Amino acid sequence: MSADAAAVAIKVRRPWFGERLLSGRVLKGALGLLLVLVAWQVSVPLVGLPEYFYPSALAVWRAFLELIRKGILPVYVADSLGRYVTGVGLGTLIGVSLGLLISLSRTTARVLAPLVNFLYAIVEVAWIPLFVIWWGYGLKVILVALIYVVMFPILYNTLVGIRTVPQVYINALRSLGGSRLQVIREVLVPAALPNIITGFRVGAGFAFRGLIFSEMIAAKTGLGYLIFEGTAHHQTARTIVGMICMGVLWLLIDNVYLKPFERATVERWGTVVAAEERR
Amino acid sequence: MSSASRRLVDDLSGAIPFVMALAGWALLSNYGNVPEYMLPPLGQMWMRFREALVDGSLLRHVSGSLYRLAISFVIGNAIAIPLGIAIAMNRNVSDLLRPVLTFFQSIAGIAWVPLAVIWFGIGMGSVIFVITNTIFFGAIYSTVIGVQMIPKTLHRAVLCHGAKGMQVFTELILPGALVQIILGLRTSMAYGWRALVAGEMIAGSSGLGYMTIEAVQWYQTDTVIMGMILIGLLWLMLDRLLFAPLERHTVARWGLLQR
Amino acid sequence: MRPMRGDRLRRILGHRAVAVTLALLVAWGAFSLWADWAGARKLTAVELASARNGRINVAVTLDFGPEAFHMMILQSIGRLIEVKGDTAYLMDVPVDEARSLARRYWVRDVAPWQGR
Repeated sequence: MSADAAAVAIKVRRPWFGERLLSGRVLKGALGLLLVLVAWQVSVPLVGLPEYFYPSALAVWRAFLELIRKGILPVYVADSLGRYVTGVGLGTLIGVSLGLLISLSRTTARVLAPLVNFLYAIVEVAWIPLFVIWWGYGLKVILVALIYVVMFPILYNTLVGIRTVPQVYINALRSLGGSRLQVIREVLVPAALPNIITGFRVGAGFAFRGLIFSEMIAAKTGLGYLIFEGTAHHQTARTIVGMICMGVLWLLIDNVYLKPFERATVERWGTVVAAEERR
Repeated sequence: MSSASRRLVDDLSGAIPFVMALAGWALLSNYGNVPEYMLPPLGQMWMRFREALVDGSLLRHVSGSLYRLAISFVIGNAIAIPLGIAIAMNRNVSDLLRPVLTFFQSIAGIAWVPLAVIWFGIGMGSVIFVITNTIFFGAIYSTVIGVQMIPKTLHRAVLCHGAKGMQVFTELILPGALVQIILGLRTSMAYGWRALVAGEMIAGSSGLGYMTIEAVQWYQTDTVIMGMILIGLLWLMLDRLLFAPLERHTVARWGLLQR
Repeated sequence: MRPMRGDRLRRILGHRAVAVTLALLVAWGAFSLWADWAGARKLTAVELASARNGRINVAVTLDFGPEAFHMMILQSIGRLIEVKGDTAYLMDVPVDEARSLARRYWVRDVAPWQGR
């Protein structure tokens, strides 16, 4: 076979899920988790504190089973997820629409930017008391808070992205006879899209924490409420179940949906800055 | 237009949206049908601000919040950075602990508040614990990544040139990971600030977050909005006056950050 | 060489997000079907026939003593009269609520009750 044919015949294969699962690093990571669990369990008799103060790993496991048996945990997780998906979805829609609307005129974007910056600096948790005064406790407040939390990073990043589009591109399109709408569609949106998506990822992250927080304050179901309720009834093991579920849920959301989405869009389009490095 | 006057125009135009917002606010609250508990008039806000300033409560809350933040930031980073470097120096240990650290980073902050209340009761102890916790896990995660990101070839090169023990640390690890560590300072502070406000709301007995959530009970919207504005201003000052210059003078200047 | 349609489909399905979502949907669908079947067994059509005005009195038996969470659910669907041990007695529960209550896996049995 000639060298060319041989080169064509070689295909590069991505390791499939099973192979990656059994790789050395994953196993070592699992071992690390196991060690932490064992250390936790062993430390309980050593520390000698009452169970509501320092529950053992086994107590937490039993609480987990109990919460599932009684149907509490699935409902809480479903409620939290439902609120999260709704909030993030609506927030993204509103954030992107508002961002594009504002950037219809570059001067509007530049003028409004300081106000957006300032409002963005008011941490999302700080808006919750105001929302509670406006709408009382309950589901509406949680949704509004989530929408706000997601909307702002997207809005902020959209404005930043639009602002950094080099004027030459816009001028080029205009001089070729492009209308304002075409400028938006052909130049501004594609240029700002990486920023929008990064803003989306940041917003999704803040929204998750915001969800837990607002559930602690203003909800009667949900993971945040579970974390809070456990300590209120001296069932600290349940609180820890809630915390662990929260962590696992976030890791799933981030690794199954958010990171691959960002990788498939932003990184492929060549703007490789991990969202961890942006605020 | 000279560049100086153009800068002046730029700065002035930056104030335009605020002026417009304030004008809209005044219009709505004084002439719109908006009830007072939803949007207090500007005059009332100003009076409330002066009141809180004069009776010292504002100063108390602000200084309390900043104090708690500072302590937690220092303690959290002081423990996390050396620990992170120590963990990351050994490839096996860091592979072992990476998932654990990732997991803890994902529940950092707010989720710990109820547990902190059980351990430390309501008040400063809980709040400091939660913020320190947040900053600790954020910083250790960044530090470990920073050390791990050092290219293997550099490591081998340094060893090749005869570096031993301490030298590897000062010549390779520290400068190599510094970028990530400094970036981590900023992001862990961002999360820590949120943890501060949220923690004070649930488990605090003083501070801006506490002041804001307390006012909800009495429908004192003016206090709530005042608290919010202060929270925004403080974060802006912290971020723009402290961390942005830090980043500019170190990481960006070393050409290691693309903005 | 143009990519074949099969390749494109495989590429989309191979995405982690798509595969996981599909798996979750399938699992949820299967569970839903099971719940329907189990619910029909606990609260049979014959028992439902005793409903009056679309409402029925039920005795809900759980595998454990009801907690605040369960009380909240029970109170939202009807008038909670009393709780004896693991069983809660409700009156004036709309028929579809009774049916969806029976579907829940933590409910051991839902039986009609003559009320008080």
